Amino acid sequence: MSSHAADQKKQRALKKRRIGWVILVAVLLMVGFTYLETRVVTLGTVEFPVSGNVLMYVLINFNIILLLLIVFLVLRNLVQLIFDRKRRVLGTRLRTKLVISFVSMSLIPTGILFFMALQFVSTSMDYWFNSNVEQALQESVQIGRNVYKEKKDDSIRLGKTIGAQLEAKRYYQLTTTSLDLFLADIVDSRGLDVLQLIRPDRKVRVQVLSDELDPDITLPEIPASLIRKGFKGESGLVEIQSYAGGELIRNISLVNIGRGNDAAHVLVTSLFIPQRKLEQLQKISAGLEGYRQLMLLQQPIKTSLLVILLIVTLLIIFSAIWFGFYMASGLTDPIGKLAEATKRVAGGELDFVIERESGDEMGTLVESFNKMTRDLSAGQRSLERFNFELENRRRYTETILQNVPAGVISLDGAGRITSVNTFAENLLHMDSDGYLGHAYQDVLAPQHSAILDQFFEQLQGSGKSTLVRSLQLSIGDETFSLRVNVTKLFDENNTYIGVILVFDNLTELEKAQRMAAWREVARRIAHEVKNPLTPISLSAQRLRRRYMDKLGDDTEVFDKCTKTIVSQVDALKHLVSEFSNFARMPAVVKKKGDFIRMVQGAVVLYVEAHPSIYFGVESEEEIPHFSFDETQMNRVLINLLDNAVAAVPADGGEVIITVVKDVTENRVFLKVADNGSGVKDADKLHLFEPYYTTKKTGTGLGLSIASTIVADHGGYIRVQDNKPCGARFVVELPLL
Amino acid sequence: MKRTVGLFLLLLFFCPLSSWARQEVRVVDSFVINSQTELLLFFGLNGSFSPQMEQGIKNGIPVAFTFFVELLEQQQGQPLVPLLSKSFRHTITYDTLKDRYKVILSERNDQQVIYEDFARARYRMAVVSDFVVISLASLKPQASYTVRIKSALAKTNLPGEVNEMVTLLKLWDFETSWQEFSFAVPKAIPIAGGSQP
Repeated sequence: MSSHAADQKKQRALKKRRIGWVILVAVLLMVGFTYLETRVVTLGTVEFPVSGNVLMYVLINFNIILLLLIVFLVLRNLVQLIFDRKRRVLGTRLRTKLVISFVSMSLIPTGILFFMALQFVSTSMDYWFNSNVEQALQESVQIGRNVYKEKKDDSIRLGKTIGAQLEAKRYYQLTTTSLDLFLADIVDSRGLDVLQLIRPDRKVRVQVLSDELDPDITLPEIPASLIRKGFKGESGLVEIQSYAGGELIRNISLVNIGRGNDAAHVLVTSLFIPQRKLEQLQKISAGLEGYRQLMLLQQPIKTSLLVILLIVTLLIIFSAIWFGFYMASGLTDPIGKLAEATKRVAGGELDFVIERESGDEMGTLVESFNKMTRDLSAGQRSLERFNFELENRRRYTETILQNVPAGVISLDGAGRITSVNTFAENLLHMDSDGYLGHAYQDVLAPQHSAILDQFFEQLQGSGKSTLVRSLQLSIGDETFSLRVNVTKLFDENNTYIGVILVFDNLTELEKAQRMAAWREVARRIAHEVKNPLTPISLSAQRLRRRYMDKLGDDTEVFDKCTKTIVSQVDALKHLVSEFSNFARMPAVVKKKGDFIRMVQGAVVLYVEAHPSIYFGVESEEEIPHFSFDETQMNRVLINLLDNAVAAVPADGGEVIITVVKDVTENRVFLKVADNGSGVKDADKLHLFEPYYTTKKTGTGLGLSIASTIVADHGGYIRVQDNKPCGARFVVELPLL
Repeated sequence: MKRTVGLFLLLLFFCPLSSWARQEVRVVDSFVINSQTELLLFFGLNGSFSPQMEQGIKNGIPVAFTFFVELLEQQQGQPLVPLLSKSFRHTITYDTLKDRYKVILSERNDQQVIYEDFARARYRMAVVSDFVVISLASLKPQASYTVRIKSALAKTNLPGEVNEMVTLLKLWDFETSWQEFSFAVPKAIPIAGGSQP
């Protein structure tokens, strides 16, 4: 894995973690802000520096922004999942299934819950604001109002009655003490709680409290405006005042006690509503007020509840989706990594290791996978080592096979050529690419194929596994003497798997052996024949000198016979000399020289001697000077030219001498081609043997000597057919 | 794209979710006169009560108007110099049992005025009279001053449970623009000034 890809992966993981944190913080903030929203409205009298409900809006909008953020992140994940699916990223199918499962699991119950809650809120609100409830509450309040009304009416009535009583009794002479007693009696008998008489100077003349009231608690003052109105004689003046946790319903009325300017008094009759009763009334009132407020806010409350419900539902849904993504990635990431790792391992990256991220079953699976890849890697290394050794061994065997100085050709059981070594390729001029895998009948020449058929038949017929045969084989212009070993091949189960042909090229060896034998023969003949020749020749010459003149008429016969003896002895001497030369070839003395010049020098003589024959010399311009024995090579060339001249027709003969070099093989080729009768295939193999000649007058030693000289130079001489007719002798010399 | 999203979020952030019908409330009939010792301010509010608000009051929701008064001194070629800033509140509540309205005037030491009739109570809520702005001794003779008045509906507290339920609701609300007028202090009292409604 490249470092760039690893960096990208790390960054992606970091980003994922960051998004996870963002969503977690967003959810927590949403919960926090929602709580604050509920608290802000209950803070009561705390004055905020911002007007209206700005703070509330800020909090709500923060919530909405956070919700949008979560929605954005979730949708982003969703889009990423869709793209991953399109790109066929590993694990996306499983992730999609898991996300859909989680979303379904959360969406369906949440949706059902939402719609049920919606229905519940709607029906409940309608039920709460049922008109019967309001009617009942209004009736309750009316009862409360009636309590006040009755108290008011009672206080007014009592005020009038007591006032009339006071005026009728004419108690103007009564002292304050006696008035107190009278009024106390009235308070007791009339069920009043407080009775006061206020003088024209606005001071209380008499005040009587019932037993239910605590005399230590000061009564509230009557507003001056009311007292003033009372003195003016206005009726129905009632004031409600708080007292001792409860309320006093007070009536102010004018009463005249006594005479003169001081007769006018204000009578205050008060009825007390105790705290417990007042609280009950207030509860009734608060109930109706609360109900009416709720009714007033029915629609906004409904909307508000629905919005909150919607926000919470969306929060749950998107949190669930996110959780789905989180869980899915928690499951699919390791699976995806495993799949990717499997792919890599399958691709040959056996040292690939997955990072273990958890201690659960996934972690165990990852660890097992890593162990498997480690084992695989070790096994592969061992296998590679074994293969390497095997390959080395195979190469070694191959090298041996390719370099062995014998031809090796193997065929399988079906007769298809399975291998051909270099020696065989070169010798038989085979291109292994065209032969390998093909049946030998299809690719070999019919005469060669027939030879192999014959071998196989003999092998089959012999019942042996090996067959050795000698063979004269002509390939192209050349003829080889081969010793062929045909061996059946069996595998370890002794099943026949084909044959192997091993053949040695004995052409040069046989030639050398024949040459050596002929040299020995020549040496002995020369030795045995040469010695008597001189006495024979001398004897014949002596006979001529002594008896020629004496014979008279028979001179002619005598002369003819002695001449024949002398000439035949000379011929024998020449023959013996040739033999001797052949047997005692001088050692080659090589020195650098101009080969072309040597060739041209030799040809010039023939051009002069045989004007009817065309001699052409063709050579490459740049034949470098190289080491050769000029005398010996000149002799070779002369032998070849003699043969050519003898072979070409008297009229229209053509001899072309070509000198070319082969830089890659570092060789020089001297070719002497004629348009004569050519050499038969049967003669080609023995042409360079001594005493083998096709000419009537030839000694049969010229080409043998030439062959020996060329061999002494480390070269080869061969005969080929010249196209369109004639023979071509090729001398191949090393360019040293 | 980013700018559009930003603008959308900004609008969303500052846009109220819901609001009851807004109304045009204005400060009218504002003027100052002086007593022997003090500068007194009179003004009223026009259109301060909406039907929904009246319904709310009758359902026991207390409503309060907050008044802001500022006095600034004008100087030749200079910006206005604030001398004082005062605020006070009129609160109206309805007693269901006693079927009467109570108006509390904070500028008069929380004086409570009881009305049986809602029209009178409403009038008292919207009218400010005899509000002592400053003592005459604090004013410079032959100087010019500006009085600025603004009123806003104080935050309305619903009953506790309702408040928690209606977190997204914005009840009736108003806030007038600043109404201002200038007056000049003569060499000798009385002084007077005011603005046309």
